[in-house]
Amino acid sequence: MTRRRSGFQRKEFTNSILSMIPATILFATIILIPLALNLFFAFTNYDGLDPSFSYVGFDNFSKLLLKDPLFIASMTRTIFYSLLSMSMGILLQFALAMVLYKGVFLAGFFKAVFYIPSMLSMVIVSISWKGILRYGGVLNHLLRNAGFSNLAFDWLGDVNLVLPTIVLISQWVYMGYGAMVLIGGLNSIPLELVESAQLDGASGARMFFSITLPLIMHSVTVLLFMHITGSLTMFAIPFIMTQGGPRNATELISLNIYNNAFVYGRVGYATAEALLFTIVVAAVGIFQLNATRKREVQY
Amino acid sequence: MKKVLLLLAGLCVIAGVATANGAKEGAAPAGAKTKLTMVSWFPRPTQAGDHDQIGEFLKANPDIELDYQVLEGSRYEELVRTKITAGDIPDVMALMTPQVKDFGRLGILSDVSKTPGGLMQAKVPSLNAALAANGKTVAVNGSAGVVQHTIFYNKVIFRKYGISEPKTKAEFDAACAKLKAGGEEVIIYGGADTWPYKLAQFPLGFTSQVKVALEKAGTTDLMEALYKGAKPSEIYGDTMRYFKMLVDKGYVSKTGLTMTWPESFTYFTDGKCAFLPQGPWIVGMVAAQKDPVIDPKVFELGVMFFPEEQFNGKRYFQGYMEYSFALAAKAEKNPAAVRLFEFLTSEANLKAELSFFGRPTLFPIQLDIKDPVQQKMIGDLSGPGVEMVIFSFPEAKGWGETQMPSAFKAVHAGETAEKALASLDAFYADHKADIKQ
Repeated sequence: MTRRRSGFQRKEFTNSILSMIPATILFATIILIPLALNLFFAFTNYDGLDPSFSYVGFDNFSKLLLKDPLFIASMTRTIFYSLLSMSMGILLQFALAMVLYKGVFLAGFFKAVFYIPSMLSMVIVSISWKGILRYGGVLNHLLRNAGFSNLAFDWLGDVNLVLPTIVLISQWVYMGYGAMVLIGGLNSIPLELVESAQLDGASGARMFFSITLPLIMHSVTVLLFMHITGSLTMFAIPFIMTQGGPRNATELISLNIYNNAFVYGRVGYATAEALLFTIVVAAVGIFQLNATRKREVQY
Repeated sequence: MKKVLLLLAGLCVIAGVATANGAKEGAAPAGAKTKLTMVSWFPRPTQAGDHDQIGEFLKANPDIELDYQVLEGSRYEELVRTKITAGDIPDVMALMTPQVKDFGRLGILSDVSKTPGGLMQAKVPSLNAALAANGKTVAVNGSAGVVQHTIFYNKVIFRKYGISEPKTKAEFDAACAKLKAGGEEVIIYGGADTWPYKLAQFPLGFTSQVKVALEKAGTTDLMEALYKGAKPSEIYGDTMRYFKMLVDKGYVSKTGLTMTWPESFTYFTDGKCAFLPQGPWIVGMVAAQKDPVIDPKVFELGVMFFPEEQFNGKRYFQGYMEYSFALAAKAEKNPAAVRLFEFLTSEANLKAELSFFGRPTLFPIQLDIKDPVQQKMIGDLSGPGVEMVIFSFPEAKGWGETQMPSAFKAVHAGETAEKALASLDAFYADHKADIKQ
């Protein structure tokens, strides 16, 4: 027998639907409608202004995958950047988290100091570091004055140095934030577990890999996901500091999309590129979430 | 819950009323100022005594309020395009020539052929043709001339090494070698901004580029030659290889690669570099420099044009249209916007503005040139055998402002000339189909 809703339940249901309306409108306006428009324009040769564009089918996608060496190069470069950034980032954040968790003098102060860069606007970060790292900038000026002229490299003008330089800047921004996420995970480990492990003779690496890491895996999952999505979609730092140069050495995929859309007036092509890239990022993110979630342990 | 819904309904009403009030922009009460918007990449002058054309206009038109928006020069094309795409079309715009063609073709710009500036421009047919779209004149030029050919030098450094202004390519190479041997920085570009490399692309080999364009496509308009099948590597090959030679010999300062162009100007006027390939506005900037004052013991301004070999008894220069003023089609019935446009493009204003900042013009306007460096610049271009080329054929988007200077910048950063030229060939082949006439 179907139970009919009471008047109170109907009222509650109506209220909940009405409460969702503002958020739904916002979601539709900011996410759904632009996504639908992107899907539409990706199959056209729209240049952003001319209303007389035409449908081109899958031409944009086939050109991207088969005939655009810049796209392939940007994608390869972005993957390399992401791997470098992720591996360096996780190591640095773990190291910082362990040091701060174990307690150092003025730990609270250092936590704030390392966290502050993640609160800064990426525009300010990029402009500031650009002034520091230019060939005639602050860093090289200090190095030359200190007698280390041989270390005064062209950090932003040397194709071999510029990408690692940008990786280091992104580490400077996010190191503190990542460490805080890990410290949160470390704080959630029950003390009695650690003590029993110590009683059983576990210490150092054994303690870390068998007890600590599995129990903070949920934090690592979140952190890795943020690393992957953040590094794959990096835009501000190369855009402001190097404009993708020198010699396209820092033209990551997001910058390639920007150039296609706004510099070369190929909005349809750029949205196709953005769609392809979104699929790649989503696939990598889902794979990572599944892989690391399997390793999470709950006590 | 009823109270919450009532509150939401009340907020919606307030929002609706506020929006309706905001939408009534055109119906300003009597005595209120008419609001206009204008975009440019030139900031308004800040030093006392500078010529402030916007300030002069506003003083003469107290009934107008102008939102003068300065957009970053190195990204000006994409920033203006994005504004227009979003429907935020300024009433009056300073535009680069590719933008004039593009926006004019789409009907975004007004027909200005009957304005005083348009009628003046009609006396220079090549200029008028370059700023026409759909058979109409859609912009009036603000500054045009050899803005991409001037090479400034520091006379103090020249005197120190006993060098006189090079009159041949060999003399130029010898001067660079002597300066380098003496430990001087020879040539500086503001590489961080990318566009200064146009001052490598044009001055170092324009005559040779025109020669190839004539041979391959029968035209001096390089954009037309490219469209007709001449490859970028054919047209720009000699220039790019020569630039590569200058880089390899260490004549092009490495410091400039990550320097903005204003920083390169300061570097030059501080006496740290011998040559600064830059536009004619450098003359006005040097004259206007007050804080800090330029030390005459380390710097004295000289100007030259690269001593290229002639072709058919001529040396060719590009009559580059630095900027043009356009009136938005949506503002053509707005008397205030028309007043602003006509002021900016009036002979009197152009004369005052161009004379003060040392900018050239192809209009038949007698500029008030007192500066000896400017006088020399004009004199060098006045002799026989000088031919000005104005590009009126549309170019691929991003070609002139981004792709070409980026290729020279890549060479400065260590790329081989052949690879840079190959990338230009690939880019043009890929983007040729996007060119709309």
